[in-house]
Amino acid sequence: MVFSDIFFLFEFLPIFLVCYFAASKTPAKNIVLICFSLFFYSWGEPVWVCLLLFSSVFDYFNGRFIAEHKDEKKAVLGVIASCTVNLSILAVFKYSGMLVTGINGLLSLSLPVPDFHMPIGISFYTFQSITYVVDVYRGQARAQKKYLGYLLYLSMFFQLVAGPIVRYSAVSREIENRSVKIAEFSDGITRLIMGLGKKVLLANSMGAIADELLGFDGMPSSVLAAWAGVILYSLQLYFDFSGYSDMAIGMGLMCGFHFPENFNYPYISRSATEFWRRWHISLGSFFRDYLYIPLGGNRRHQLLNLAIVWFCTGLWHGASTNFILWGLYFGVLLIIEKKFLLKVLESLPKFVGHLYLIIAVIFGWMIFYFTDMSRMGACFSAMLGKNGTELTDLLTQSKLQSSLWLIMAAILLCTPVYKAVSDFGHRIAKNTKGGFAVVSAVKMIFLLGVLFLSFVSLSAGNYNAFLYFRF
Amino acid sequence: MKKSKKRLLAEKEQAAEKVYQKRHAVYQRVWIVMFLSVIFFTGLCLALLNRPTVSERENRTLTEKPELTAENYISGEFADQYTKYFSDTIPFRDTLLNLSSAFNKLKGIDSPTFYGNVAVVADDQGNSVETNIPVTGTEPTGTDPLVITRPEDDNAVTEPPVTETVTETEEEEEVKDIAEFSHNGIVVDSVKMYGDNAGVMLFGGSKTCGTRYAELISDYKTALGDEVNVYNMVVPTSAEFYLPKKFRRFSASEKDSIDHIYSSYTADVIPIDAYSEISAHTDEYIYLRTDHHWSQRGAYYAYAALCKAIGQTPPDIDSDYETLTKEGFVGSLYTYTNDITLKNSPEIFTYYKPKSEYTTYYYDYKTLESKGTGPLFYENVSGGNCYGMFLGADALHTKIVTELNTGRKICVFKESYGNAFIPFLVDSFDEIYVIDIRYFGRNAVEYIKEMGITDVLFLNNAFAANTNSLIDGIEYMYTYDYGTLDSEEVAEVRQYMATMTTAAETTDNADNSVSQ
Repeated sequence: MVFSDIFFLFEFLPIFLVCYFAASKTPAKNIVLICFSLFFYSWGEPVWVCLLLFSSVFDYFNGRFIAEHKDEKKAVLGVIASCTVNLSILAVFKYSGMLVTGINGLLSLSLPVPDFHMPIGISFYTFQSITYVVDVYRGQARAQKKYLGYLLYLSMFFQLVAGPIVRYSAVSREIENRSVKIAEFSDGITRLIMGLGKKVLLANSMGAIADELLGFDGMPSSVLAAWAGVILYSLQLYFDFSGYSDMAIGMGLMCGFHFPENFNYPYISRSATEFWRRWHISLGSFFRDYLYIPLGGNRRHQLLNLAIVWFCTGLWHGASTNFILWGLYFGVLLIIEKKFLLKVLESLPKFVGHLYLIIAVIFGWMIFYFTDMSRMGACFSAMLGKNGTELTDLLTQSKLQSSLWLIMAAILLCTPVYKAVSDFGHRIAKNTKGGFAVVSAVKMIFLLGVLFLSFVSLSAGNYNAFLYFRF
Repeated sequence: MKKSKKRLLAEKEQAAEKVYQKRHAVYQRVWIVMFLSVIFFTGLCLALLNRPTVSERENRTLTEKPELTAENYISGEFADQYTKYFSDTIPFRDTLLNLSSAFNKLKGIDSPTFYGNVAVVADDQGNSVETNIPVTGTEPTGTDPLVITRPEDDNAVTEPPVTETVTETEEEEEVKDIAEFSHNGIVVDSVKMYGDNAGVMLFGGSKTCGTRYAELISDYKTALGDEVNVYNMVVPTSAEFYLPKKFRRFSASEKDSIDHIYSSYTADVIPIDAYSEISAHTDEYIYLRTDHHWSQRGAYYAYAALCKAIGQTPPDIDSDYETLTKEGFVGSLYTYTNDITLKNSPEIFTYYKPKSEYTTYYYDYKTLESKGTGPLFYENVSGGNCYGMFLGADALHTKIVTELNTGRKICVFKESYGNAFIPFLVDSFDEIYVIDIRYFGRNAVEYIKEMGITDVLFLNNAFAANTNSLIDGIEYMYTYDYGTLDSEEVAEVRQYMATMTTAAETTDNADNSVSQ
């Protein structure tokens, strides 16, 4: 199941909330949450529940093992076992097709290429499982005594499918005991609706046009089409992914969980380094804390470490060469920035940094979009205006025009403008006579409007692609 | 003094904050209650309200509720189907779709909307072009409709009871017809026809296809010899005349395409110049505004062109026919684009019934089994189905016997454009045989000889004549060999054919007649 689905929003969620709040104490709430999560996950692909259960049982015991052998050398065995098994699961279900195709190509064999339907969310929960075992090993978290407690951590439907990658240490206390505050429940709803709107109204609309513009045969129809296609795809990715994270964080709040933020206006960054501190924060910090630093971080062979980390970051996004290229592209940018570019950018006016980052990111997403190298090349040369591509074409113009307001709104919403408006509203509500009622009414009407439009748009069966299936 | 002022301000600020917090707590409670009521109420409505099974707006049957079994749950099929069913059959679906279209209009500046892919404008290779214009290409099932209805396909659709034949097929026809052009660019905004909103489908065209089409028809002429006249008429579509200037470069010239076909014959095929006749009347209502077909009036001018070629004078369209109308017709271009401007501009569907006497016989395309007699115009159609009125859509092989005595029998090979045209022929021929190129599963040359046909007309629109899958149909009927049937089947076919020629009149018995 996905969040941007009428069945989820208006049947699953209400029924879940009733059951969840009917359960009085945290342990009972946990059981409800587990049951609904397993149902959520099994909706569509029940077989893979077994894999999730297996992973949870295995790492639960790894955690116990490490706790029992604390301060002994043996404890590391638990970490090794966990990493081996989790990464093997990923390798088999996500990368085996790519691996075998690669081997076939290299050795000119014709081994049968396995064709697994990749289990949803596998990239997220295997990583979460690793954070648990490693955190316990490092003494940053206590091993979970109850299996159900651990299963809850791993299977919680809010973040099961598309993150954020929540570390065990971040929620371990809330798994045992948590309470829902009215203020947080209310904020959670707001967050949920904003996330839904980002996904359904912005990301889906941007994605529909981007796919039309980039779904060319041979060549994009014009320079404009190529640029607009990639820019709209960039917008789609941001709103899709951050919208989904918002919904996860919002529903977490509604149930008493505090998940870490995953996005912080990435497109207003002024360098790739900053971008990665703002984009998919939970993934970036995972690789930092569980790969880069263990490899030696800044202390030894930093370049190699960076290369490995960015190779893995790319690979994590999908089993295809272009994702690896994309990861390495950012790796190279980051290294260049570390060497000298950051200093140069700092001495220049701010807008230079913004411009540089935006262009760098847009080219990055172009690599990310095309799994087919020749089409990527065609798009790239069209963006540079090579091969006599026309500057603009009527069809693209008409497509862009017919969504002009929405595109402008989307670009604006990549900046903290919503936050500024909401702060402004807060000031008015506090300091103006009668301001509170007006601001509250406007806020509610706006949010209900977003909910209503999302509902209409979903029920019309408009474009509703799910980008995370590849991850 | 100063100090106390500062303190006073701070206290004031504090008080304001306190009041705000208090109010905000109320706001949060109200907001929670409001949100929960909305999702619970919506959830209840979605669960309890009656769900539609068909969408009038889109003219299709909606997804059915899947049955829950252990097997399909484990395979995940149930969940997929159920999710699809749940959103597809949402109560007030059509209203919600309208709202969504209205919302889409607000997304930007009202500018020309293209739907679907814009066909690549004519090339000389033809390959990249024809992929954009599958006339029969994408049926909902994803299989080729040509194959489905061919006789060697044993799994072909089971026969519906005779009385239901026509209504059943009408629906099928509607879906197919939309699919016919669904891969083409459609322009809606700023297109005006006869002073009202309209949609136009962009034409691609391919010389390679055109050549192949012309050569195949020439093969028919060669095979049929001098006793049979073979006519070919390729008719333009509305894109040719009504596409606004600024979109011209997205659409190839149908005139060029037709001229190319007419100049590529390898035998003595008689070209019918419908183009000139039609283009002289573009201020009349000759094309449907919301549908990809022409109107019957447009078909009349094509008929006039045929009359010119065979030396007859056609009856007058405004006085010699019974003119009838259906209101509220919104056709396939709307169904495909869901464009609200088309929905809001329904047309009056006008049709012309010949006043002369005739009888219409229907036969199954697969078996040639008689379905009895029926009306030529199925007048109980309404809404988006109006074009399906002629011949009860395409699904049956049709023979019309008139009371003329010209000694001429015509066989028309057509796609759905032909349907509106056929009725006019009752004033020109003794017998009219109608064969839809997409469904006929016999050797057409033998069939023509067997029926003693004197005139053969290929009637296709410019899209169809440039589409490989349709041309495949023409080739199929040409090369079709009885040898692929076993002897028993051949005997059966011959018997049916014999029945048709000799005892057509006697098959008309009450039990077997196609009822309206």
